[in-house]
Amino acid sequence: MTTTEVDDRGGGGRTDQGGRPGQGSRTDRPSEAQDQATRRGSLFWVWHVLRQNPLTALGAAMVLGLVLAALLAPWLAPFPGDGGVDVHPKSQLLAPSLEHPFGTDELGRDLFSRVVYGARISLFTGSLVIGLALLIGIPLGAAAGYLGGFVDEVIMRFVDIVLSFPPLLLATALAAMLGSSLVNAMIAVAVAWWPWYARIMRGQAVALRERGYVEAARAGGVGTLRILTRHIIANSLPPLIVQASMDFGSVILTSASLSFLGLGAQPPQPEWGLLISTGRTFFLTNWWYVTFPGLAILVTAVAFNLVGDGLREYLDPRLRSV
Amino acid sequence: MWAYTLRRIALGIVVLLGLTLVTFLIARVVPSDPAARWMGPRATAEQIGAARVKLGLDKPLYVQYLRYMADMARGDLGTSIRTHQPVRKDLAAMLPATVELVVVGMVLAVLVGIPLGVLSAMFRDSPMDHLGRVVSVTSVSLPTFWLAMILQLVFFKSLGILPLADRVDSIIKLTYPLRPGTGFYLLDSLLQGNWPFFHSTLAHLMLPAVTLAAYPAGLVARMIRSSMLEVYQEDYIRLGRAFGFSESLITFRYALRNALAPALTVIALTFAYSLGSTFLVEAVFNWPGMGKYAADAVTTADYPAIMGVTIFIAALYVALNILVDIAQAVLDPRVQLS
Repeated sequence: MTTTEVDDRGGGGRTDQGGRPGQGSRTDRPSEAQDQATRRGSLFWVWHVLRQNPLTALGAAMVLGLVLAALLAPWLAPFPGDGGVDVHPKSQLLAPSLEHPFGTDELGRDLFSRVVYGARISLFTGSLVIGLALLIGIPLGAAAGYLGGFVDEVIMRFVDIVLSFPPLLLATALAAMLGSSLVNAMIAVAVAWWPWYARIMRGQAVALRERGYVEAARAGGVGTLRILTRHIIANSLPPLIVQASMDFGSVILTSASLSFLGLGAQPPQPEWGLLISTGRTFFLTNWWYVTFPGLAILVTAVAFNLVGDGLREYLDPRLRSV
Repeated sequence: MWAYTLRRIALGIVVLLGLTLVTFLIARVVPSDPAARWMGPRATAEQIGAARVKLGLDKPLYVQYLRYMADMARGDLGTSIRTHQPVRKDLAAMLPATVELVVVGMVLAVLVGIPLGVLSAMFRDSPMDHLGRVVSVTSVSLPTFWLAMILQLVFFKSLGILPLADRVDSIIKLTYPLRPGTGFYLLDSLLQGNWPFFHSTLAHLMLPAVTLAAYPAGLVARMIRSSMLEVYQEDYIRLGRAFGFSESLITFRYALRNALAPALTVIALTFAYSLGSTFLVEAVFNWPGMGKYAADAVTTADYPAIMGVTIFIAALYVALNILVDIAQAVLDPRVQLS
C-alpha cells in the first residue's frame, strides 16, 4: 500500500511515499551525521549546521531576534501602553514617521509597538499549539506502534481520517464551531496538527520495540506504561523535536489566518492576523496598516522555515552535499 | 492491480464515513443550539421547541446521525441557516467559480515552480540556487490574505491596471450578458465569442490566481529541486555525463523526466489542498465561489453550511488522493502493491 500526503503546512514538501505511515518520513531515519553530532555535543552540531548553510544561519538569527523582541517588548516598544487599550484620538491613522515607524491605527495607537507586542502572542500561540499537538500525538502514536494489532489499526485509521481533511479547513471549521477566541483557535489548530506527530511517533515505536534494551526491560518485568515513557518515548524525542521546529512557521501562519477570519484573537489583542483584519477596512487609503503586521508574519514564517529546511537537509543524507 | 484499486477505494469509503461522523459529532458537541440559531435571535421558547422537533434534534444522537447519513446518501447536505437554501444547491452554484480560479492558479504555479526548481537544482549552491530557494521559502511563508491585499494595493491602487475584486465587471455583465453555460466564465465567454466579457473575466482572475498560486509554486519548486538533486546522483546520469552528453540534454531529457513523477503527485495534492484554502483568497477578492461561501458561513456560524462545505471538500481531497495513489502505482513500477 502506498500512502501519499502533501504537506500543506508551509514546511513544505514533506511527502511520505511508499510504506506504512511513519516509515517513509525523513525525520524518522536517524542519520549517521546526527549520531556523530550527538556524540560531539549538541552545540557543535548546531554550529556545524549553521556554518554549512548561510541561509539557515540567517533563519536562526531571525528567530533569535524575534524571541528577543518578544521578551523585551516593554523596553523595545516606544509606546508600551499601545500594546493594549491606550487610545490617542489626536494621532489617528498617521503615516509612518520617525516617531511612529509603522504609522498609527484608527485609535491612534503606535503600530510598531503593537507589532512588537504581537510577537509575544504569535510565539506563544505557536509553542502552545505545537506542545498540545505533541501531547495528543505522542501517547497515541506510541500506543499504536508499541501495542500494535487492533489498537494500532484503530488509532491509525483515525489518524488517516483526520489527515484527510485539508488542515486549514479543519481548523477553521473547528474554531468556528467552538466559538471565537484565541484559546479555541489554538485548540482547533492543535487538533488538526497532532496526527503528523502520531505518525512519526508510531514509526519510532515500531522501530524501537524490538531493540535489546526494550526487550530486556520487558523480560525484567517492567510495566508497559513505564517502558513506553522511559524507553520508547524518551528515545523518540529528537525526530519529533526536529519536525516540531519545522512546523512552527506554518502553525503561526494558520493561527494568523484564523484570527484574520475573526475566529482567533479578539480586540484589543495586538495579534498580527487580527491587525490585518482590522486594517482591511482602511487599507486602500492607509497602506501601512496591513503592510507591517503582514511583514511581521512573513518574516517569522520565513525565519522558522529556513531553520527547518536547514535541519531537514542536514538530517537527510540524500540531500547533504558530500 | 485491480485488487489494489478496490482496496484503496474501500479504504477511501471508510475514511469518508469517518469524516461524516467526525463533522457530525463536532457540530453536535459544541455548546450551541442549532434550533435557536435556526429561528433567529427573537424566537420564543415554543418556536425553538417546534424547530427542534422539525429539525429532528429531539431524537437520540445515533438516530440523528442515521438520518443525517440517509439525507446525505440522497445528496441532501442540509439547509443553510443563512441563505435558507439547500447547501447542495448553494455549493453547485458556487463550484464553477472556485474550480476556474483553482485551475488557473495551479497552471500558474506549475509554470513558475518547475523552471524555478530546475534552475535551482542545475546550479546547485550557486547564487541562482540561493535566489531560487529564497523565492520558494518566501512563497510558502506568505500569509495568503495579506498577499491578496498587497497585490490589490499595488495593482489596483498604485498602478491602476487591474480590478480590485469580484469575478467580472458589473457594467460588462449588464451590457454584454453571458448566456447560461458551464458556469466557467472564461470558457463560456470564449465559446460564445463574447470578447468584452472574456477580457474582463481574465483581468479579474489575475490577482486571485496569483495569490492562490504563490504557495503551490514554492512547494512545486522545492519538490522539483530536491527530486532533481536525487536523480542527478543516479548511475544513468553519471553514464550520460561519461558519454559526454550535454548538460541540457541530461537535465531535460533524463533528469527532469524522472524527477517529474514525484512532483506530479505533489501538484495533484496541492490542487486538492488549494480547494480547501481558497476561502482566504475568495474572501478578500469577493470571489463568488465555495471559499467565500465557507468564509461567510464561518463568520455567521452557519453550521449546516460549514459541515456541507467541509465534507464536500474533504471528499474531493480523499478522491484525489486515491486517484493519485492509483496513478502512481500505474506509472511507477517501483511502487510496491501489497
